Amino acid sequence: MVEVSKETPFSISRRELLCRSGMGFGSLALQHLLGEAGPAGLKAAEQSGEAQRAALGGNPLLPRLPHFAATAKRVIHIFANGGPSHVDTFDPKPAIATYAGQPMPGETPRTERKTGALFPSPFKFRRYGESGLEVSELFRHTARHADDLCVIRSMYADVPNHEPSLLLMNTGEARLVRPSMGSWLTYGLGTDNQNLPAFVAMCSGGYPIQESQNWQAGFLPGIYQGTYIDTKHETIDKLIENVRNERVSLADQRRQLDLLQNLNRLHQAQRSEDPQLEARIQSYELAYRMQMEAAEVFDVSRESQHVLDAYGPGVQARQLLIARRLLEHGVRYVQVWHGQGQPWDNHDDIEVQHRKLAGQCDRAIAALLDDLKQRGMLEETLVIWGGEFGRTPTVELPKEGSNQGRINGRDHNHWGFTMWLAGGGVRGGYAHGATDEFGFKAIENRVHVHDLHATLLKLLGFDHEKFTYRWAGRDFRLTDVHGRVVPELIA
Amino acid sequence: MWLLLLLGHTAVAQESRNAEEQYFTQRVLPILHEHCYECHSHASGEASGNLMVDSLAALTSGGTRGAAIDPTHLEASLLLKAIEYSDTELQMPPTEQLEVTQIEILRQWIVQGAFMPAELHGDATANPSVEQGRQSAAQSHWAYQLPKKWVGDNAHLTQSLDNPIDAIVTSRLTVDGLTLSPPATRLVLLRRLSYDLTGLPPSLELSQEFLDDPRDDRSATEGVIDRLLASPSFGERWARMWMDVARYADNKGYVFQEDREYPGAHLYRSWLIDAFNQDLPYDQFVTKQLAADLLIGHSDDTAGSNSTDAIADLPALGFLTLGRRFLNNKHDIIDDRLDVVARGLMGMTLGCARCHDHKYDPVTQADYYAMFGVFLNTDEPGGEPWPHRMVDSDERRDSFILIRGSPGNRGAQVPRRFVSLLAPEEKPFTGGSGRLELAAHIASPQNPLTARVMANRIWLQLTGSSLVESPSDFGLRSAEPKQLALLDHLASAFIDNDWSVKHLIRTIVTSQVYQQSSWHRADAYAVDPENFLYWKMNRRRLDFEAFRDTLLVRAGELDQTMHGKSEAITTAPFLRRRTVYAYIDRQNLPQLFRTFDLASPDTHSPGRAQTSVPQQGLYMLNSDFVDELSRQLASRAEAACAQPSEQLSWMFQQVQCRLPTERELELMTDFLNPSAERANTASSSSLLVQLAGALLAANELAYID
Repeated sequence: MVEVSKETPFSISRRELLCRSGMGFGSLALQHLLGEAGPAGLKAAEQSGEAQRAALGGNPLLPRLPHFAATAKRVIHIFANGGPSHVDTFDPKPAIATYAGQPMPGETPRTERKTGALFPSPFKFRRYGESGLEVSELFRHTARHADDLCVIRSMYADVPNHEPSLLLMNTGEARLVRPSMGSWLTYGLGTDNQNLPAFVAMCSGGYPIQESQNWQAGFLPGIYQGTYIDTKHETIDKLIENVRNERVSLADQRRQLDLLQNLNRLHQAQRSEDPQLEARIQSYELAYRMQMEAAEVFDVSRESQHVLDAYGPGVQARQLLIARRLLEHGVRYVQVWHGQGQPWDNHDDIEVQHRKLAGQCDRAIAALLDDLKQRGMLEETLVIWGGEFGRTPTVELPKEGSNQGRINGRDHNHWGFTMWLAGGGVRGGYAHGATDEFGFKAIENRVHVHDLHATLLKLLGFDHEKFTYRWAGRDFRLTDVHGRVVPELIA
Repeated sequence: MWLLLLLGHTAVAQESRNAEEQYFTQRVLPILHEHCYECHSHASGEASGNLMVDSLAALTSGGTRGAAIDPTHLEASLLLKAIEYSDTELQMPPTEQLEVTQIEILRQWIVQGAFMPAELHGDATANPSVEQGRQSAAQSHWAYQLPKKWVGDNAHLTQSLDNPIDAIVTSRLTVDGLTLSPPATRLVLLRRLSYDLTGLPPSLELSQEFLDDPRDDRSATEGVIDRLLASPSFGERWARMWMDVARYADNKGYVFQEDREYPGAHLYRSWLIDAFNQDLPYDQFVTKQLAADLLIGHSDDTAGSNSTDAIADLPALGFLTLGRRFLNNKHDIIDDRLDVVARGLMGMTLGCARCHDHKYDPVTQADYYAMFGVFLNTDEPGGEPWPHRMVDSDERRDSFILIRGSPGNRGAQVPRRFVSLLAPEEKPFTGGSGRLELAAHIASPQNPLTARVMANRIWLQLTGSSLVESPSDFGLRSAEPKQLALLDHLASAFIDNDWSVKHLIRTIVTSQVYQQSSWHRADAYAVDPENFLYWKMNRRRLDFEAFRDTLLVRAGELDQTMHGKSEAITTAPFLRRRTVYAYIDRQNLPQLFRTFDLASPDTHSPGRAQTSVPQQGLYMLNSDFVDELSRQLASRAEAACAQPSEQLSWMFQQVQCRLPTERELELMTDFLNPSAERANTASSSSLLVQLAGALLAANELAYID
């Protein structure tokens, strides 16, 4: 049995081959090449490739290299679920004010509900940084980093409904069961810290709409599913299942583990050729270490007071700080949701509600960017901010049973919206594309969600057309049969 | 090493060709199809400007303006100029320029050599088509031929080798100078049989009886096999296997704010358990899951049952109805049903033909929508006592082909019928929705896939390795199995013995191949490291259900009550029942299930991943459930024996079904007698609990030799 570890020169050719094999196939030949005999059970997996490799070493999360050198190595996706209004945040449209109260010229595009006249933004915009990027007062702290932001003002999706749009943004498919982007990336890259989950999804107080499907592994092995953390809790045992044992001390547990491993070694002695036994032995050692490391990483009280002050109070601040600590410790993908349900979905009272929501996260986002920069992490950390779609520049009309009829909110808008990226090799201080003069539809350099995915994968070292997984007779991709890389977004 | 490297290079070369082919079929061909073929292809019979663009030969020989692709100056090819609109005289397509991305796709394709797959090459005047290529490949594809009966010469069937499985495997091993391994010991074999047939460890009583049985090994073993096959636990074990096939869950997944429960899902599970226990012939097993409602009052009832029995079979329809509901999108619901039928029962990836003809297999989009039509003609009436049944709709309608799978883009209407690959006459279904006819086509000895797919699933379940690499894809891309003769024998014997699942299982587990030792042999390993030829039995890991059930059994806590509603197993008070009764929340599958590799209940699952991740260790070390069981085990030991030394021996035997070795005893004794400075931190009773925990977490418990 050839022991393949990170240190052996052998692993270089292994990695190269994995890269060349496009992650998805050719690994059967690869196993021969490496002299690795797979345990028989692995043939049970429908697909060749990763699942087999997963079964092989017993640890499907060992770090791996992507197709080519990447600028981004890890991701934090700040998900403003519900749909933040772009015309109130990152896409200023003075024409709305000019024509305030009047219907949009031409036909108003169809959205989920009926909307009426143009409804000016109650928020003030100004220019920030050397780039002069325009941002509204809602994100004035974040805007300090204007020169690092790559604002995509020409995003569009397919339909004006939360459910399909959330799935599209997270999995590239609006209805069917497909792996989320975080699952794809942990499948492709593994993770740098075996003592922590590779992919973490944080949401306080419960799930967003579509629930854990947003971080599902789909047809990938279940281990690539995001680990959900309810950040409403503050103690480690409530944050990660079974991570702490209140009944025995660590020292006593080590003793118990030693007994277990000694018994395992005796059992293994007569079966030394079988790698799966060793894999299970090692997984217990990892589990033991995870208890300490996870407890440490999730404990934000270990941060200095000035860091805590910079992030500010509240759940948003705490989960962004946890996110930074996780990334720092080698977690591959962190998704931070604004909260249970669809907080940014302001069909009514958008001025009050958006001000409140932005107030909960703006400062912490700015602090996160500062923090990443100071630690030299921003260059390799891809920060993504946005919702599943944006909101209409026109006011939502009252409809019984669906809004409070206050005529001061906006409807969903998939025709055009804004997301921003930072770090990880994106082009900072740049606004890409444009919506029409009122901000309804993306018209210039339009970027579909599939295009965004293709570009993100590129930043992470993958050719989105070659990053595949064979399942049910097909080689699947995050971008399915769509997507094109948007080179302008890359520095 | 040389050979190995060579192999690597070939694989890489093959891959790059695959990639080119994939690029062409997935990216280029759709554009040519949509924007060029209408005026420039054999299929349309049009050759404007004397140019065809459906073969490389045609492109390079060109039309009235010369070669469309110039192999010596690819970048200067006329085709490129035409699509780029760089020449005002020649702009194609003439009506509207292609999208930028489409142009880029064609440009990439041309400058990299304009690769076209073999079936599109050749004489431009001929009419080669992808379809024909597929059809001819299909004619010889192993899985589309009826299984061949094994005709061993008598030399192979000796008295000691009277099971054809042994004869087939042995004769193949001989070719490579290999032999079967010696039989496993009675203790090992009993454990293997018990798990494979019932999903539970053998009881200490059965163990003792079998070990003491004075009869010869063969008679004693067959006695045990028959007892296990007759155990009600058999049905629970094999029902769970089928629940992976059927993507079983207790709810619908996300359906907005609607009630997402499937309150009667457990009735389907109960039906499965009974069907396996009663050894319902597999052809009827399939038929009932597709059309139980249509068998009621059927005068020519193939199941030979009376009307009351037929009504009791209605829960079988859960196979179709218990899938995810995809925001109640009808097309997706039917797609999921087609998938569970096609992949689950026939190893056919029909779903690939939803948006276009299958890229690899001889399955057309018309086939997909012909089958789609069957489920378009059904309703789900719901309500007690048969909440998830299905009935035919009152009116008949055929489905349209949806171009690119898009409901807004209708093509021709296709009558409901079976896939043309297996029924070339394309005879439309006439009885109602056609489900009964569909079932007849699938549950047929003339269907080359059905028996093979199930025989392979059973073999996989019993040996831990699949004869066909992809258990739910027997299409053109699945290589001929190395042991095709074995698979064919299993499939034809399955059919010949009235599709009896128990008979097939019995045939396999009574074979020497199954009963051989799993011990490593360096000589055989050198020849066949992956054990494709079965020179030994595979060592296997207990799956989640068997593992959790075992923990309960060993702690003396298992509640063997059968049937009934699903219950949560992840929250206290912890359920003592078998894991097959666990509530499966499809939408938010508890972390525990994912951690232990349960099949995803989202769609049909061909097999389980097998991982060793630290979260499994955390569960064993820290979870309240395992702690509870450890305490139970320890207190039972204390009740059974007075002395700590007896207690640990008792406990060890209880868990591992054997006496500890001296070394093991020593390790455990040391553990119970900590050094002085530790002695006051842990009581002897809590040490016994920890010892119990260690025994339950040990590899020996988790693997079957």
